[in-house]
Amino acid sequence: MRVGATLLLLDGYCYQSYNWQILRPLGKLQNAVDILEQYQCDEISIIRPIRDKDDKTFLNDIKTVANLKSLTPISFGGGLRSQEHIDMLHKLPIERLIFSTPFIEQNTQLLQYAKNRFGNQAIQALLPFKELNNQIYIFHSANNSFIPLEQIDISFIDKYANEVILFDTKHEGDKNHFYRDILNKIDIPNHKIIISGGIGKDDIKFAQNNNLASVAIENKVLHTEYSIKEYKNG
Amino acid sequence: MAKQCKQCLYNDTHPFNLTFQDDLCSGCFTHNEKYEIDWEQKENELKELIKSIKKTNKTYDCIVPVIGDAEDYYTVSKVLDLGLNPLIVAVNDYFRTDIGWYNIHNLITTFDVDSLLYNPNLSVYKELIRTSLRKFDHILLPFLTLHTSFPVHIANQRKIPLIIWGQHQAIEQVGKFSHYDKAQMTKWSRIEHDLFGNDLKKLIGNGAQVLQKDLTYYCYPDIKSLDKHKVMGIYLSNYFKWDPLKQNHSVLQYGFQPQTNNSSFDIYERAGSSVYYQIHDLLKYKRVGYRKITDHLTREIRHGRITKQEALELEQYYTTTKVDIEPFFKWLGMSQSGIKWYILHQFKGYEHLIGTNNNPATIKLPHSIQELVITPKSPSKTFALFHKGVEI
Repeated sequence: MRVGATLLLLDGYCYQSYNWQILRPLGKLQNAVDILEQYQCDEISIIRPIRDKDDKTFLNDIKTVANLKSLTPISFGGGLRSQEHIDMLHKLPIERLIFSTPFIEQNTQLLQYAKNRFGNQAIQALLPFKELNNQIYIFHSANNSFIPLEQIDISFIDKYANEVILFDTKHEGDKNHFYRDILNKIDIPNHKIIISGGIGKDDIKFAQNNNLASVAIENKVLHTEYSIKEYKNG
Repeated sequence: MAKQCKQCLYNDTHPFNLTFQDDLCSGCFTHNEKYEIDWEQKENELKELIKSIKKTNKTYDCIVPVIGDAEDYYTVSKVLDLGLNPLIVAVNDYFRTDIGWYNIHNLITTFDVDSLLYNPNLSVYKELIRTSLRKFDHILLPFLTLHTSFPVHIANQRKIPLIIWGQHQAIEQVGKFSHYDKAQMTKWSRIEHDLFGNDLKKLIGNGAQVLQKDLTYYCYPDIKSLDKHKVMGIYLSNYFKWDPLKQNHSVLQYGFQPQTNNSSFDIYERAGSSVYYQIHDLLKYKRVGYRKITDHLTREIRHGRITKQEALELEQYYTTTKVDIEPFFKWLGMSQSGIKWYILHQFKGYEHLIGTNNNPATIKLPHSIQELVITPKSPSKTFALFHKGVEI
């Protein structure tokens, strides 16, 4: 199982998000990536927290990623909503693409285009979720709102996505609080699942025991020295 | 147009960056955590950590890196209250006044603690300062590079498991982390926060005429080695409700000597420096658009000792006080014509702020701040390279 990290990038600068509500400034993308490499992080997901249709910072973020020097595989997503966006990313040092809205809106054309350009293995679906009264709600980025899980065609996601990131928005920034019951509520094979949001050592053990594809640690990964090793050794 | 915090003096052009929540900046909403946190519980968490370290450790329990200002007195007093046996580690920045030297020696003798002072090679240090000044308009980067790496080297070499810093500046100023995160000192945070994104490679680049062998302690130790020796750097402000002005006033009981300051009402922070409120403050103004006074006033607004309106008046007053930059350039070995050239080309637009200003501040402070400020002393000697047994 891979142990990775999530970095939020917006307008050329990294942020930390807490409980999907509060953003805090973090720093330069290159500095964070440099240290994650030294921590022997298996992969880095760079996600742009675009939570509505108005996305004015895409080009600036593309420039930031284009200048990135990294030996660690990079996944990139957040606001990827057109073929033009996919084309721009093709020349960049990006291994995987992360989509959210195209999966929720079943944008087959865009997903197929991305598959053709990057390969099947490169397509990841991001499902930010929250649990409320035992019900699961999925965040629909383009509408900036949560919708009930029942409104989403999970079989479509399973078909088009090579891996699915289940991101616990309620516990984002916490430690050992990932809502594990989500695995029982979304019908996707474990080997395709990446969990993120509130990840701690116990969650990593849980992920290992359940043969998940990967975990992506968010804020906590930069709060202590050599954190990934500590997480890996659990 | 810059987005302004509705409470403090910062806006979104702050060099550490800021985020906003209901028009309140991340520094302010993070400060508000201080009133919700169960600090007793936090202190107990720290005591548990200390207990686990003391159980296995046979040498010093911790290193406390100091520069010798009031906050260091407070940090050392807290460390001793916690029952720790510290080694005090300091780097000579060669910028101390006689008051600065007095304060550091008084700290060591009053608290009766072991200490280690590192005197870096002066010619290498000066060359790095020249480079840093030329490349980044910053004269303290070489010192900060050493101050944040030398104590870590000592901890690593001597297998001292804990390094205890006072405040986490990036939390206190701009709320980069929550207090609940208990963010530790890391190689990344050192570069990103302590060195403003500039590591040694960027500092030297192809500009500094120095040899790699002279830079050992400027480089951060290998993190694998730190991990092997279980060295950890923590910040006390994550465990105690941090209030610098109040705390700094409280350390007068230990004989700490404040120093006159024409650039701020704060006579405690970095007291004993020949440059901090002089050329360094002017360079900060040039780099980021505001002087240290803005940080001090923002802090006091958050602690409720001054209103924003009062702060704006004080900011205007202190931002226009003059700084004396000539002694620094003489220390650096620059000729009189070189100084003139520098002012003409590098301080264009700031000439009105350059000059000597020996008059004490005449502006009235709010009572809640005034009661925490005493009459300080003026240094009789600046740029004292080495000093022992200083009487002031």
